[in-house]
Amino acid sequence: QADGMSEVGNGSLTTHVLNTVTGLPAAGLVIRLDQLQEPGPQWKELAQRHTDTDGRCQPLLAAGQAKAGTYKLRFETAAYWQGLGHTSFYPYVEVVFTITDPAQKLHVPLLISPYSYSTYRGS
Amino acid sequence: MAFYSVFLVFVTGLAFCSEATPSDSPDSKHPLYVRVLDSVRGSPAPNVPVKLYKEAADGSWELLNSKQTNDKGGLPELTTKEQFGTGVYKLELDTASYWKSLGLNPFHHHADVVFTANDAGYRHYSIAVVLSPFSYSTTAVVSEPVE
Repeated sequence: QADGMSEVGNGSLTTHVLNTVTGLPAAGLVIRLDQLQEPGPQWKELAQRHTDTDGRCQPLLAAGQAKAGTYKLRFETAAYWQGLGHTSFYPYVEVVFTITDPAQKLHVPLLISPYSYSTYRGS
Repeated sequence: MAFYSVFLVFVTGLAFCSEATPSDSPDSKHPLYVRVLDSVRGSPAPNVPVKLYKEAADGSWELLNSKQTNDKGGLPELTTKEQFGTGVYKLELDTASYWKSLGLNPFHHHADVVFTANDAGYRHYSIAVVLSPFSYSTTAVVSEPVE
C-alpha cells in the first residue's frame, strides 16, 4: 500500500473523480487515456484504470512518459450512475487537453452529477 | 385589398421581430438550446464555433450543423424538431479558438458534450457550458415530455 501511494505522487498525469450529489469520491469508475496520433483523427489507447474508494487511481502517465501532444481522458460515467440506480444525461465524459510541457505534473479532476460535470487542470 | 396589405405588413413585421429577437430557450421548433458563458469576464462567450453531431448506426459521428454562438453566447437554432430524433448526440465546442482570440493559451483542446436525447419521450433541452482557460463545466436542463 505504501508503494502504491508513492507511485501516485510521482505520476505525471493523475485524476480524481468526485460525486457531487453525495459529496463523496466516485469509486469503481472506469477511465481510459488516449493520445491523438498527429495529425489525427486516430487515437491510440495508452492506459485504462478504475477509481478506488478515494476516487483516485494509479497515474495514467508515469513520470517521464508524457510527450507534448493532444490527449483524451474518457470517463465511463453512465455505467457508474447506473450502478447507483441513477439515470444520467451523458453516456460518458471525454476531456480533451493539450500537454505542452512534458515535465509538468498534471492533475485533471472531474466532478460529476447526473446532469452536470465540471473539469479543470489542477496540480 | 386594404386588409390584405395590412395583413402582409403584419406578417412581415412578425418575421422581422422573430429574427431580431432570437429565442433564449428551446421551443417546439428548435428543441435544443445551447448557451456558452465566459467565467473570466462574467459575460456571454460570443463567436464560439460549435458543431453538432449525431451518432450513426456504425458508431461514427455524422455532422448535423456547424454554427457560432451569438452575442449572448447562445445557439438557438442548432437543430430542428424534424432533425432531432432519438439518438446520441455530440456538441463539440471549439473553446481553444475562443481563448486564443483573447490572447490566452487554454488547457483544453475543445469541449465535448455527449448526450442521449429523446429516448423517453420528446423533450426540450438546454445545455449551458461555462468556460475558463483551465476549466469548463456543463449542465443540462431537460423538460418533461412535450408531446
